[in-house]
Amino acid sequence: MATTTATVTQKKTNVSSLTWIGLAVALIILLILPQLIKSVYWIQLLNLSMIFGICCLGLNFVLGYAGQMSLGQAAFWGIGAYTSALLTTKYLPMIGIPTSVGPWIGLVAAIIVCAIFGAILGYPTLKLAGHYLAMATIGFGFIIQLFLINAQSVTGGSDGIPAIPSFNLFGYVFKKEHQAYYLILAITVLLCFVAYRIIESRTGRAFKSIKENEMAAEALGVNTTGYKILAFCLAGAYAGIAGSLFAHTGSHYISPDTFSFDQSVLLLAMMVLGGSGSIIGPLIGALLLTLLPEWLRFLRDAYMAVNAVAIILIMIFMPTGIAGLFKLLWRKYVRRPEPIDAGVKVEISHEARVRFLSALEAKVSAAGDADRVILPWCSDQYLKQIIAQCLVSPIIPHNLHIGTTPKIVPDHLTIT
Amino acid sequence: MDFATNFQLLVSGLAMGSIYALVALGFVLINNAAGVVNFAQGEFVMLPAFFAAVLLTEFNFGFIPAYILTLVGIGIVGYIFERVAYYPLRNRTFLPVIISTIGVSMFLKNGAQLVFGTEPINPPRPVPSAPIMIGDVAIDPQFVLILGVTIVCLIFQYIFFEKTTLGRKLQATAQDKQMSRLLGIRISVMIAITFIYSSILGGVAGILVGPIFYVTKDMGGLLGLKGFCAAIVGGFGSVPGAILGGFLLGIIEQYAAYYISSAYRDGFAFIILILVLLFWPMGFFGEKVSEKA
Repeated sequence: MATTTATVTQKKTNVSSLTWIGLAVALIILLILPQLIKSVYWIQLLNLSMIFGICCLGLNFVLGYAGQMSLGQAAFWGIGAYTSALLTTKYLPMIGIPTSVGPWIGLVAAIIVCAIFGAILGYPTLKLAGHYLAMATIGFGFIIQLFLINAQSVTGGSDGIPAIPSFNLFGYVFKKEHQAYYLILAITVLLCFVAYRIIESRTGRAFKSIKENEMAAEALGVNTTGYKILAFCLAGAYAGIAGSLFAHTGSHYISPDTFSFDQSVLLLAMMVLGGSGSIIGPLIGALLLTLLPEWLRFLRDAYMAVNAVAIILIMIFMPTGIAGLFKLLWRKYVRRPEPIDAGVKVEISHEARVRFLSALEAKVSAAGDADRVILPWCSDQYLKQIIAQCLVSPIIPHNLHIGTTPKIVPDHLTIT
Repeated sequence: MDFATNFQLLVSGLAMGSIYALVALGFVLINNAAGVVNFAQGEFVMLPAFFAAVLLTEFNFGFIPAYILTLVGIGIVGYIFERVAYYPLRNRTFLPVIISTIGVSMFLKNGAQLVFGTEPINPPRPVPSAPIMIGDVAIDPQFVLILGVTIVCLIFQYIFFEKTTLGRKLQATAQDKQMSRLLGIRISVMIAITFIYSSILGGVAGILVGPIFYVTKDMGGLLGLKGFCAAIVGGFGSVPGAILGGFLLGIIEQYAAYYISSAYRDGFAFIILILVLLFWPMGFFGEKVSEKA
């Protein structure tokens, strides 16, 4: 499938030394932070925000990069937590594995189980998009939560699972919040790095191409089906790790009501607030929305309502989140980027053109006698050139009339 | 497996189905007019249920004035909702709008808790609470009321949309915004009216369902989601589909809860939804615009 159809000459992305210095400073601050904060409660909040951050990093693959809606991330988180907790408290001791190594096995099992569930949930994405997918993922979340509550013999029901053992590294037990902090921090940093490597790889580019324009991506030989499922698997795996960390640290207790639809919404809000489609953004969003309730504590019962208003305002005035805002300011005041299409030349083969047009035709005929088909018009310069080249080809379906209506639908191409 | 039980299940299924149908209609109308899925639709059932309950219990209003006041109130809330959560985002993709409507949903839920307290309210019934006995079959009069009012609403809606100028303008807006604008229809007003109308439909559902459930801040969430399921099962974007989907979902849910498992009652709607999405994504009267696939 993956024949080289377009050659894009692109400058290799190099992270500037300034970014490295910034990251190093941030890491040092994070390392000495627990020495400055003696309050166990605040460290617990930081731990929790990192766990949420990992969930958001996972969600980011699906939503921020591959552009697929998911409102079921808390369910993955729950599956991860329950897998890890049940194994360590119930099933592993049965076969004689001590609780010192149990959590690590639980962690690996959580990753595997959640990735499998990710594939199961990812499968509907082959057919669904937009709010249909949102609804399917909500349904998935509800079914999982109902199962956790009602399958008493397996999950312990609504009482939850108490006394989950801590992580134990060669005899060093991460029991106290301050100790768990370093474990969670290390895993978070590792996962950030993994996410960065994935995003900068062929896989990451495939995700982005699906988000920008699925049909064009398919025409270019991207296996959109496989990559969509992969995105869900990654989201699941990350949530699985977060779930395992959640179960084995903090209160060492889990119950089904933590992993609710509201939590999925909160995770989504964290990601969007921080800035979807970036790596540091979701972490900042997770930190802010975990600490916000503390800052709004003076409002007492009203804080959730204020929180909701904040989310609406962010959506209206700051659509790209904190990371987007930062990027904008950075480009405006620090370094202006070179124009994107300078010196870029896209070449497209005949077979890719044919494939694109047949996909287009299929979409038009699938629409039947609908008045119009809307193609998401891509913002990416390269894809734009590719589509432009495809559409000037003589094999374009003759009854297809293409026009843009910039004032009404700014980023859509309408085919009437 | 006796007749009486089955008949009672059917009636309660139809009654719950009416509620889902009303909610589903709200989703479909707003989606058709504005291209937006309103994830706060469930809160437009919860809020009027509170309004009606408080007016009836705290302020001792009669049933008719309380209900009318509730519908007017929820219409106003619907209009404010349209201005705040939809209008500023109308030219953006679906994700910001979904999150913004979810934000409204959170706000309304927690706002309701602040204003009305955490205690569940059990509003008085407009009909006697003793069941109507037909032979062995016991039927809750409230169920009959729900079914009756819903049918009246549907007839009203049919007349409103098909026979009045305003209704036709609303339909034109839903079908083709550009053309409607060229014909001199004020699209933004039509969309606002649709939001108000959908809120009032939710209001009717809330008033009707209040006396059956206890009125709490969380009652709307599941009702809204199930209404949305119903709309998809019926074929999203289709008005008859939403009605049929609602009734079907209500009936299946009652039977499945009785014969299969009552603990998983709330899961059946989603299982049906996922099955329909996977194997029959068009639903009964599927939409033709191929955005879904």
